[in-house]
Amino acid sequence: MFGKLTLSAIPFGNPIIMGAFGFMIFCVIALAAAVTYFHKWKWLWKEWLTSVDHKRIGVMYIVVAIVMGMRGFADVVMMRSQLALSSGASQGYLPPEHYDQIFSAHGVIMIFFMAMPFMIGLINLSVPLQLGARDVAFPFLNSVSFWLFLVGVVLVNLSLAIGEFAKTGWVAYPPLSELTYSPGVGVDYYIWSLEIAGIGTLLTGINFLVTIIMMRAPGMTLMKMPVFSWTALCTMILVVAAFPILTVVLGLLALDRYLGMHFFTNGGGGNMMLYVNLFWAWGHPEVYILVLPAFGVFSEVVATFAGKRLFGYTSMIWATIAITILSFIVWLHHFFTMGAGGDVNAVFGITTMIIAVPTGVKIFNWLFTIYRGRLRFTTPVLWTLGFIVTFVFGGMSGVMLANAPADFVLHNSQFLIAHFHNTIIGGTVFGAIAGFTYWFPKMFGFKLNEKLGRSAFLCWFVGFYLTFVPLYILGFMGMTRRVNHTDNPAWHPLLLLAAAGVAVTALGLFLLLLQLVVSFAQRKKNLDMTGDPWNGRTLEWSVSSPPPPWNFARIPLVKDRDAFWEMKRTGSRTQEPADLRPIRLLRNTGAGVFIGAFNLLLGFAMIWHIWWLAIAGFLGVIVVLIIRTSSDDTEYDVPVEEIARHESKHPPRVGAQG
Amino acid sequence: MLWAVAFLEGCSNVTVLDPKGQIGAEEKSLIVTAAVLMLIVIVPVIIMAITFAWRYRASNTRARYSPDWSHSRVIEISVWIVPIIIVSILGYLGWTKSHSLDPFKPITSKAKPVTIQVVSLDWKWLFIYPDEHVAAVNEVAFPVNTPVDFFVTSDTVMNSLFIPQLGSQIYSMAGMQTQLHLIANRIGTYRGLSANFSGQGFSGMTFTAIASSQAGYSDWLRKARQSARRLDAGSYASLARASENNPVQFFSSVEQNLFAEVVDKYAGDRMKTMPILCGS
Amino acid sequence: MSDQVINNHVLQDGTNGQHDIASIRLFGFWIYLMSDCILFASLFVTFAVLHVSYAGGPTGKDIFALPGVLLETYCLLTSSFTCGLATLASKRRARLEVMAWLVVTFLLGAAFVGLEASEFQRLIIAGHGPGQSAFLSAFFTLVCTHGLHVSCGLFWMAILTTQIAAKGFNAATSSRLSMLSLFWHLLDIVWICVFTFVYLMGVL
Repeated sequence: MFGKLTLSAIPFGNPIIMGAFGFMIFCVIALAAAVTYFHKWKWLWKEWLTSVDHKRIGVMYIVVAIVMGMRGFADVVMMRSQLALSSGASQGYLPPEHYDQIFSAHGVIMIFFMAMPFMIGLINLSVPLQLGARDVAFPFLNSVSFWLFLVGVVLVNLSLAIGEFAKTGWVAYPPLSELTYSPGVGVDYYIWSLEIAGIGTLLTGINFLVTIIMMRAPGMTLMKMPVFSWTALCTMILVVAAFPILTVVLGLLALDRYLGMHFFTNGGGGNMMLYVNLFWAWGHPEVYILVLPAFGVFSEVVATFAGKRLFGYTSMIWATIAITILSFIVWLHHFFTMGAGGDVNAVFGITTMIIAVPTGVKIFNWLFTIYRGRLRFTTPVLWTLGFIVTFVFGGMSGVMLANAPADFVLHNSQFLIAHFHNTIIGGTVFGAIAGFTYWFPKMFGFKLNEKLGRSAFLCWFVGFYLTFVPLYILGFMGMTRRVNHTDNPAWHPLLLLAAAGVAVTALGLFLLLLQLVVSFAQRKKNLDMTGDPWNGRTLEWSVSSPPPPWNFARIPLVKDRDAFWEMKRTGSRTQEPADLRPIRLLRNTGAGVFIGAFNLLLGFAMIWHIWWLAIAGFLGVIVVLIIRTSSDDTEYDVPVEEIARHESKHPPRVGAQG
Repeated sequence: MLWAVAFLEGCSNVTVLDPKGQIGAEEKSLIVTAAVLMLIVIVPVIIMAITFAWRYRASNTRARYSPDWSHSRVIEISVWIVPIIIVSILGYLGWTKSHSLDPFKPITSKAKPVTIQVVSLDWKWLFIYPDEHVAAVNEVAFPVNTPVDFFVTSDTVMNSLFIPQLGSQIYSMAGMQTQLHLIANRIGTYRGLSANFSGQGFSGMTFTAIASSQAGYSDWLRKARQSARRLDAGSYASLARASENNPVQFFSSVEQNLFAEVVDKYAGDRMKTMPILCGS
Repeated sequence: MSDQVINNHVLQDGTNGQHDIASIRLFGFWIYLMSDCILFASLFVTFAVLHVSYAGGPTGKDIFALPGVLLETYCLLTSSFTCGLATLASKRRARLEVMAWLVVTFLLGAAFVGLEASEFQRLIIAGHGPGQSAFLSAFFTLVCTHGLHVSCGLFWMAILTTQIAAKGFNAATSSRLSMLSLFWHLLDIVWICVFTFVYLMGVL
């Protein structure tokens, strides 16, 4: 009746897990209690959960990303403390059965459920506004994407207490991830949470690709589009091209596990090298999906706060396009040591190093934007400067790894760990926080507390180096990754340093959360009354903070790059309220929520082999879709009076220079 | 980071940068070369980031402010050309070294190579000497200045044979036979490990590699031959059962073709597939 | 200058006046189809790598029955033709004709799926199911994925025909028909690749 699911799936005997899960349950209950107390259920449902508005969806993505970032960071604290403790005779406090789940969950959560949704959230918030559009091309699909992503989040979190998570590392190489060597449900949780969330991501890719190509404001040619929208476009091309490969490779692993097939098994003719190739054919574009939006954020931030045009716009764009294309021909550098031979290894080493060139060009373009500018040292600028300095080390270690023979002694070592954290934290995380701070006033109408932001940055910056420089050294000392115990006393001081670095970073994370709380409390003092708190250059700053649901009362006509800056400069921003017409928008709908709910049942049922429930979940999805597509009443018109009322409350700024 | 590298140059703990074998030495020089060449870009970037940000801070009204200056042919050309030159140099080095240091490429030497067959098990390493008819668990020995030809497979999940102080690693995969050619140029005892996560006992899957004189090597072989244990199908089956933190064991005789049988167990028809994926 | 407003182009709907909703939807569907192509490409790559891993089991020559495959091909290609006829009829807004051709397309597609299912059943009963070898795993998965796509197309066809019957031809149903026919033709192209690289090259 319940497949493989029994009460013994809950690890009652493991206090750490029960404590963690108990804490999560407590948070959920506390949140529900608060929402009940303030009578906000209806508001939550009507205004947020059923929303098809890209701005709301973007905020929801980022909220979940922050929460999951904390969960992933908890994994970090456990791993670093375990390694600091388990040297020589001491075994630490985390046995391998538990530790192996932690580092696997850490990778999956940080990549799929923190970094990606944060970037997708930022793209959701700002791209339609930057383009002068009212929303994305398919707002309903946007909602569905979010809810499918949330299903992945829920499944990963359920695995903590009901069953187990994968103990294979975040890449889940076979044969270790096959049924023979991973008989539990852990790998199944991994497969289904990623498959379902992956569909959501693919839909997002299609959505924004169409939006950017087809829904720009009149006059905004591609070469007049803001750089962040360009990087969003390239990111979405990567998503659309790469995610089907992930769907296939995880699907094949599922077929091996569920139907006894032999794609990657040790026997029956299976070939584990095929998995490795397919996985990384997705995996390398994935890391560019993570970092390109961050590059876009930095472009916007630098230009805005230096009060200067972005240097080398054209070469930035071509560099981004080059990175997009090149990212598909480097994947083998993730497994130089699998024995492909001199020719193949050499070719992929060269393509990998070629990708460093356009990336370097971008760094110089940012520097020369600062040159002869007037740089205001706001928090986003601090994160950007921190990125420039930090990311180049990541690039350096990347080029060191790019040649196969060098990789032969550094593959899978702590050096590699330091390299990719260097680029992901220095690039994606710093960019996420910069973008979050930058666009926060636009979404919520007030700025974040600068002082706390600066302190948080300092902690993150110092914490990063304190954590990862020791890891670079440990890699040179021959320490490999995914070990839960070490026996070389020379390594121990460095592991302690790394743990200390995590503590400093934790303080930085705490300060970021504190910043949110304090800023909310102080919001009346930091209100953004004009919609343009930074003297911005792009169209999102031309509307109120927060923008109305329809974004623009009148679609702007674009003549130049940095459209809003030019409008302010020439003073030709004004128009009289003539010709306001009703605006047609898509109604909010719960269909996305229900599709998510049924997919959750489907995923959970597949993991635990509860076949009747899986069928029910699947049918539920179909039924909701049919109902949705048969529905005629999906749109409504915003009356002119409401638009006019909003316009008069938030008059557009006229020709003022900041 | 290069300061860290320089700092540790002499430290004997920094095994990768203190190689005791020719392969490792060449790999180290490639790493250092790449690092130094990259510094040509990194150092100016850091300097520019600091100086530009400081000089052009908003409160410094003496600095020139050119809000519309966004293009310079000279700068564009330099920022494309210099990295392209660096990457070309590294690419050339990478091409030649990827071929010369291919793990499957035997090392040319006047000394007669030692052949060792390696099987990764859960969670230990089995080393078979087909020419000497002995075997050992979690310990391997060979004479210095002698090429060692490792033939590697797995009877479980994917692992990676790695002796950091001697050089390259190579994956071990069931049903397949990879190769690793190393040479030790200094007498010593070196740490070996698996560099690809393979499950519960992974952290304990270390072994010792002993590079000794010819006499020392003969002594080691003699010690192995004195073991009461023999490696045949039966004892191999019990050895292959999952165990962690195995102590060193020796086998004084090895069943003929045991290694080939382990490979063939899974090979089936897979050996006929794409040669590219199976290694050169 | 009040040139910030293009009075004639301020649209009520969200499309900025550059493109209408139908073409936006169609472009989106094209992008989805491209992603589906990559999905199939990955499966073809998998088949290419594993197609000689017989593991002591049968080879393609042993199990492929070309006459049946030929019949399946005729059914599917003809259904593509009738789908095209439905599209042409939709341009003339001939509702009944559209529905008729869709029904014919459905029947031909269902015949394809039925023939394929019976081929699989025959193989599985003979012990040559996907769990016997990597070659069979890859074969079954590739061909089955295509078959599942066709089945989804049939399901979609049925729903759409019902919607056309109930509500006639409006903007929504005619754009859905365009998307469905694109989908159907793509599946045709994939089948030609399957037929060539899997069946023909397996037997020759």
